[in-house]
Amino acid sequence: MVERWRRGDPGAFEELVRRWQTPIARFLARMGCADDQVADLCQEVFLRVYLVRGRYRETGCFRTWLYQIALNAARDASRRRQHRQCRLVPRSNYAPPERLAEDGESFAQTRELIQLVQAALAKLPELLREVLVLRHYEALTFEEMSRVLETPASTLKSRFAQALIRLKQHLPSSLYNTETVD
Amino acid sequence: MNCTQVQAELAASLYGDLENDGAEAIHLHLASCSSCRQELVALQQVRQALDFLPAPEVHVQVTRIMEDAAGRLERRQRLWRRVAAAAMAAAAVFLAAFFSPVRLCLEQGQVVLRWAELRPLVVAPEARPPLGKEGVAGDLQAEVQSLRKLVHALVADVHACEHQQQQKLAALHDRMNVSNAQLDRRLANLNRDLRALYTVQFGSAAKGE
Repeated sequence: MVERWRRGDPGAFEELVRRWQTPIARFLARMGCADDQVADLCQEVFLRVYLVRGRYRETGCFRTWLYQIALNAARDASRRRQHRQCRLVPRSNYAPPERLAEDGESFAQTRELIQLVQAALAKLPELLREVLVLRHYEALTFEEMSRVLETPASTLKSRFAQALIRLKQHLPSSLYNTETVD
Repeated sequence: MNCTQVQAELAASLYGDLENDGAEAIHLHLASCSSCRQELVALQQVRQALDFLPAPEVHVQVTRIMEDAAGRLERRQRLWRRVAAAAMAAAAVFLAAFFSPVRLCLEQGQVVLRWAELRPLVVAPEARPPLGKEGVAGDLQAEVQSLRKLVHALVADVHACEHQQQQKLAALHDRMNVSNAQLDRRLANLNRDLRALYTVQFGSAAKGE
C-alpha cells in the first residue's frame, strides 16, 4: 500500500488515511490537543503527508515517518495555542472511587478516572509525555521511537520510567491497591 | 540488585522491554522484597488507568486534503511568479541605468539631461582620437568648455548676490541710524516738555501757598 501511494495511486492514499487516522488522532489527543482541535490537526497531518510524499524514502519505516510528522504537527499546535492547565478535580468535589478493581467500577467513577488520568498526563513535561504516549498507546519500540524523536534509545528508556513514576505521583494514591502482594 | 536499581527497571519489566538476564534478576529481587512488589503493583494500576482514556473518533476527508494541497501549490507558484517578475524588473532597471549612457550638457543657459545612443563602456585606446581633434574628443572638449562657462556664470551670480545683500544690509543700517536719531530727538523734546509742565504746576502751587 505504501509503495502504491509513493507511486501516486490516489486509492492507496485513501487506504492509508483510513488505516492510520484513528492511531494518529489518538496520538494527537494524548499529546494534549483539545478535543475540538484533534480533527483539524489530524487533517493537517495527512495534508502534510500528501504534500511531502516525494521525500519519503523507500528504505524507511512508514510508521515512524508518519509519527514524526504527527509529532511535529502536535508541537506546532502546542506552540500556537496557550497551554491550558488541566486541574485535578479537588478531592472535596467527587466521591473518591473505590480502589480500582480490575474490571473498573461504575460509569461515574470511570468518568472521574478519565478526568484524573487526562489531568495527570497534561501535567507531565512534554518530553516525558511524548515517550509515554508513543510507548504505551502506539506500542513503538524504543528503537523506533529514537528515529521519531531523534534521541538515543537509552535516554528514552530512562524518560519512560520517569514518566510512569511521575504519573503515579500525579494520580491520587487512593487509586492504588496498597495491600501487600505476595 | 538493590531496590533503587530494581525500581528504575520496573517500567521496562512491566512492558517487556528487559533482556532475559535483566528480567530474571528483577524477578529474583521481587520474590524477596515487598516494597518493590508494591511499587510494581502501583505501576500496573497506572498502566491500567491509562487504558481508560477513550480514543477520539475522527474521519479525515481525503478530498479536502487534495483541494488544500492544490490550493497550497497554486499559492506557492503565484508567489514564485511574483518573485521572478520582481527580479526581472529589477534586472531591467539595473541594465537600463547601467548600460544606457546619459549625457549632461548645457544648452541655452539650461542644464539638459539627454539619453544618448548606446556606446561601448570601454573605448579601445587606439579608437580614441587625440585631444583637440574633431569627432568624440571635440564633443568632449565642447562639453568641458560649456561646463566651465556654467561654473563661471554661477560664481558671478554668487558674487552679485553677495553684493546685493551687502547693499541691502547697509541701507537697513542707515535707516536704523536715522530712526534712532529721530527717537532721541523726540525723547529730548518730551523730557523738556515734562520739565516745563512740572515747573508750571508745582511752581504755581508753591507761590499760591
